[in-house]
Amino acid sequence: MFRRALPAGLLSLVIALALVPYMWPQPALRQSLTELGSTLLAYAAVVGFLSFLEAHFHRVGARAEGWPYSLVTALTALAFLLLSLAEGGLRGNGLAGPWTGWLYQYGLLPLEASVGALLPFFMVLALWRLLRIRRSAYVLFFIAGVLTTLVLHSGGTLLPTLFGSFYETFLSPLATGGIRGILIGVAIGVVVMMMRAFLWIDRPLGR
Amino acid sequence: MKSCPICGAPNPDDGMICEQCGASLVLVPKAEGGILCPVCGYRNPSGTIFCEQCGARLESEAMPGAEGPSGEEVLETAEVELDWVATLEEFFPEIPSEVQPSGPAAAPAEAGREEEIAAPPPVEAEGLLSTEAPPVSWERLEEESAPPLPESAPWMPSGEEIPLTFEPERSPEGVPAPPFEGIPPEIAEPWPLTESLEEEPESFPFPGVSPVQEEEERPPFPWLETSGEVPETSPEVSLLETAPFIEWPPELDMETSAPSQVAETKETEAAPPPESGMGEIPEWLRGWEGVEKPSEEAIPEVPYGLFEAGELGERPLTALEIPAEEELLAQASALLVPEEPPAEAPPAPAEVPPFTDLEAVLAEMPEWLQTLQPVPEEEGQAPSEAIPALEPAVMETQGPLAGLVDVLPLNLRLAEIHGPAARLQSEPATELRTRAQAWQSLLGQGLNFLFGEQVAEPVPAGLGAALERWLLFALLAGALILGLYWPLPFFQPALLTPPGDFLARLDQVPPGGIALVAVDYGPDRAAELEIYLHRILERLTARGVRVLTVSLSPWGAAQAALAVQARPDYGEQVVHLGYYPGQEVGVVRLLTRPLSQLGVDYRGQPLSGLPVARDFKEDPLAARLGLVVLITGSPDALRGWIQQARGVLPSEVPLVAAVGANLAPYVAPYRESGQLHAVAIGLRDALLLDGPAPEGSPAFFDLQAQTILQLFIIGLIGVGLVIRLFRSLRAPGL
Repeated sequence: MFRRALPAGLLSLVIALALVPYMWPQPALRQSLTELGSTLLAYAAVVGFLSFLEAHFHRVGARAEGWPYSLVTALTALAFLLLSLAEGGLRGNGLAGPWTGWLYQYGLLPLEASVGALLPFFMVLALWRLLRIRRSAYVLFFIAGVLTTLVLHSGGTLLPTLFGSFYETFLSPLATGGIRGILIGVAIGVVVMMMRAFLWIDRPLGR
Repeated sequence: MKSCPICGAPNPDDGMICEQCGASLVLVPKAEGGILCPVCGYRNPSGTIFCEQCGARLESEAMPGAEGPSGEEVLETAEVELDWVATLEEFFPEIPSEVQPSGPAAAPAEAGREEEIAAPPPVEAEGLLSTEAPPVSWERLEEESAPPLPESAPWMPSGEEIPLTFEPERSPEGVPAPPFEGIPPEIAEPWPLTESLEEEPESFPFPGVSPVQEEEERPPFPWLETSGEVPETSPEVSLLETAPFIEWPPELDMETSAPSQVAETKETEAAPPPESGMGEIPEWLRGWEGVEKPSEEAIPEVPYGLFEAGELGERPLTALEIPAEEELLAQASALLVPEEPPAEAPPAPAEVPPFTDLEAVLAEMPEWLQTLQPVPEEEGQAPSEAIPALEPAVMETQGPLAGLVDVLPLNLRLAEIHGPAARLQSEPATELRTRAQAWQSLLGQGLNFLFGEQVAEPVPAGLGAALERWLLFALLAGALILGLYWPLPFFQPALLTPPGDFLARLDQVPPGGIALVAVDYGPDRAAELEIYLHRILERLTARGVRVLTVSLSPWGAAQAALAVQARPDYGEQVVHLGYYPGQEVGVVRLLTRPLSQLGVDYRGQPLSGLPVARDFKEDPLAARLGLVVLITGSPDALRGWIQQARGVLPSEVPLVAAVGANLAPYVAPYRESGQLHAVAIGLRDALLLDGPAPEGSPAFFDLQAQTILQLFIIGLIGVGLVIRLFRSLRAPGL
């Protein structure tokens, strides 16, 4: 019981302290909590990276399916990390050193751009094949949304002027309302999760 | 397709083994008789001790409810005799068996009927054929015409009446041979195969084997040879210790004298019996040397059974004459007489050094054996891996192993079910099954009850699919190239309006003020958003505004570094703070941090020495900012910046965003709520930041290419809908 109560109690205390500045402005307290949160996030990033390496090296050691890709991924990540540490420690340039910048500019940028350039072709092909479904309401809804977006943003033609008023009158409220509902739902979910953690309801604290 | 009798999985008709559970699809008895296995439900032939499917021990009695798997197709199997009686009958078909085979009922055969023996060797049944034996018949796999069997056996004296009782042969001297004293004088020839066949060579059952000459008298089996040397054994070796696996009952009925009748074999020329009444002692009995030969009265007159090679009768026994198994057991047990200590102590064996030097023994012991030494357990602590309790002794009650204890102890692993569990015998009622299926079909339809069942065409494969794919790619590439190099008449850039509100907010920052530009996009959005970064920097620095660029992601920091590192006014009007960790927390931390504590730029250069930070003091950054610009293509970054910055920034500080086209619906709520003062969306607004695009300019062709592609996709959707409509009209049922 004590082993579960201690971390649960700490969590509740931190949540309460984080809420205090919003009700009782205390810059020093807020700054301290912000620094603590930043430190925890940095620690989480380190742990996440180590977990990433462990997962891929485990696949390599177990000779799981696709282990060569895991080996390349893990070694590349390690190489980048060591290169950035060396550049930041030896040259003092941090992440913006010439070596890291060169790898980013001539390695990562071309790869990402290539993948991004291929994406429209395959999306069009998927859309064309989607039309082969003989009868489906979902396909019709999807096509209607795509058509609306394309028509309204096909600048330089008369199409937006033809359908602009229709969009502003009927479709824009629906789209905006939908996005607002998503944002409100996300915010409520965050608040509920916070309350559950504060009141020791959420697992594994509650059970 | 046929179903597996164990798991019910469908299998090909010619399959031998179930593809699901590995059960045999061939050896499934068709008849309802037999023993039902309590573990897997497999029906085993009668007399089987262990289940043929899973290896579990079967009960001696037939399981109740002898019903096979319901609703399953029973496979047609080959009727193979599997019990030991049938196997014996294959070798000695003339001997009628007490246990009837589990197959079809054995119909009585005609007297003297020759029957084919399916198992090798093709014994012609000469030796055991009895003219007076009751007819025995059982179905064989294939009843083909068998070669005719000789009418009489070679060892059978013609014309003699076959006695019903066993009588030892008289000795040549005329003295009645002593009654059987347990161990026959000759057991070297258990099989009647070594009989001299000179009289009737054609009747030799094994044509391919040359008959043994009389002079040789060579036993057929090497283990029966007696070398004449008796190894010395300890006089204290008891009967039970020497018996390797047989546990005879302690009380032997020595006076059991049930007249037993054994199947006669061929008459052999037995050697004259020794003086003591016991002939050459076989090797496996040599250890009993010194045993006092029992008196003639003590040892009853018992035959040696089927394997007797000594004093045998002159005719084979019939089925009725074969003694019961219990009698055989008792008679066989009478053969083994417990040894009595000799009168004189035998000579002491060779001196063996006493086992006192344990260390010396352990030194000689290999390491792997030393690790097996038992470790004394502490009191009150149970071993970590407790040895399971031994199963109680199981005495066999049937078959040739009857009376033996723990011959084949139950192996726990045999109880494990190898493979999927047996199917449940109970199945839902038909009515319930139909109702469940109806519910399942209704729930699986979804909205199909409104729009009908949707049947998707299979994705075309092969050359047609490849041509279709490449045609689409070619049309798309053609539209792109067309829009990039040829001005089209229907494209009118004048219809495009630049983002006025956004530009107005950029122009509201006073000269010398500080603007914070958050760069949070990666290489995938660089083609669309990098134009914003360059043009915003140009517009702000042209008016004397100091710009601080920062990113919450490493790739955004790299993108900003590529844009600012080559600027000549870097350090004077523009400075890149690099990657700021912490995501949303980093936003608050950055905005509430004093300017003097910003530290260094992305290259590690201290800010205090740069002209851009000439008036950076202890006031927080949020208090000195005149504008915050968000350049991002990620909804999470957009939400994080707006939610965190809006809580820290003063209300008079405007917050504007330049986002990709994918974030157009996401920025609408923030725009309408006033959290975002201005928004620029997509490549179109980016190209119009400097005003309308003149015809022939790169911005003109970029806008035209984008429009052409959008129109091409609109046309593609239209063509697809037309084709779909045409197909539905041509085939209304589709």
